[in-house]
Amino acid sequence: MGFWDVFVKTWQVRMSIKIQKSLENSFNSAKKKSETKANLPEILNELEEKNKSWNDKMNRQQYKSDI
Amino acid sequence: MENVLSQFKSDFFEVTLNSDQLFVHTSTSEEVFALRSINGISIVDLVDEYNTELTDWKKKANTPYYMYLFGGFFLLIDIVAVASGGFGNGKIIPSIVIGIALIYFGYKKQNKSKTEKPNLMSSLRIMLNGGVKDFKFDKADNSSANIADFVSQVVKTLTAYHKNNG
Repeated sequence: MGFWDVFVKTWQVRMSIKIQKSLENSFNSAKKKSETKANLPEILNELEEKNKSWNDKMNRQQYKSDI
Repeated sequence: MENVLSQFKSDFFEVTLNSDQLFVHTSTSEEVFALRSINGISIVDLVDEYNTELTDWKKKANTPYYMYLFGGFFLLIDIVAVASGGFGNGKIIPSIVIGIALIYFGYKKQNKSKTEKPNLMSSLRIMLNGGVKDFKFDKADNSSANIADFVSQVVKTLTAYHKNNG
């Protein structure tokens, strides 16, 4: 096998790996995006619930230290 | 140790603040930070982690329904086989066992996954020269009022320290 054949084969293997990785990445990113979209209402709800009481606690501390 | 300005203990970690240093004790580590190396502190909600946990939990929670579906499918085939008079010398018995086993394990899994809904955790982030240190805690925990008190104490101490030594 000559130099040119080896060069082309190597390029083909590298390119196929690149294509496979890019497909995997785009699939994973689309999956992650759809999962996040599905979880969004629960995340927002949890954030609101936890931060409401937390902000109250912080405001109380702020009020105490202002006095 | 110099005069303690603030101190609290939660289920997650124990922190002590004096005029020069911050001591953080967790179940796996004990750390001391000089106030001169601290640039600030913040509270961060670990949303990415919660999102991942929630996705995993949903997958786990849905697994029983797939098990019911496949178990039901096996049993349906058995019913059709019996109804068409083809009992096949007991050949459908393994299929019945598989169907019942799938439904049973699905039921067991469903009961287990009910109790494990993830919880949004937060992190007390200490910003140091050359990096950050995170200490996880739960804002809904009883001790979080102490953490709020501590944060406001650290803010005051840090401000005073940097004003006096800056």
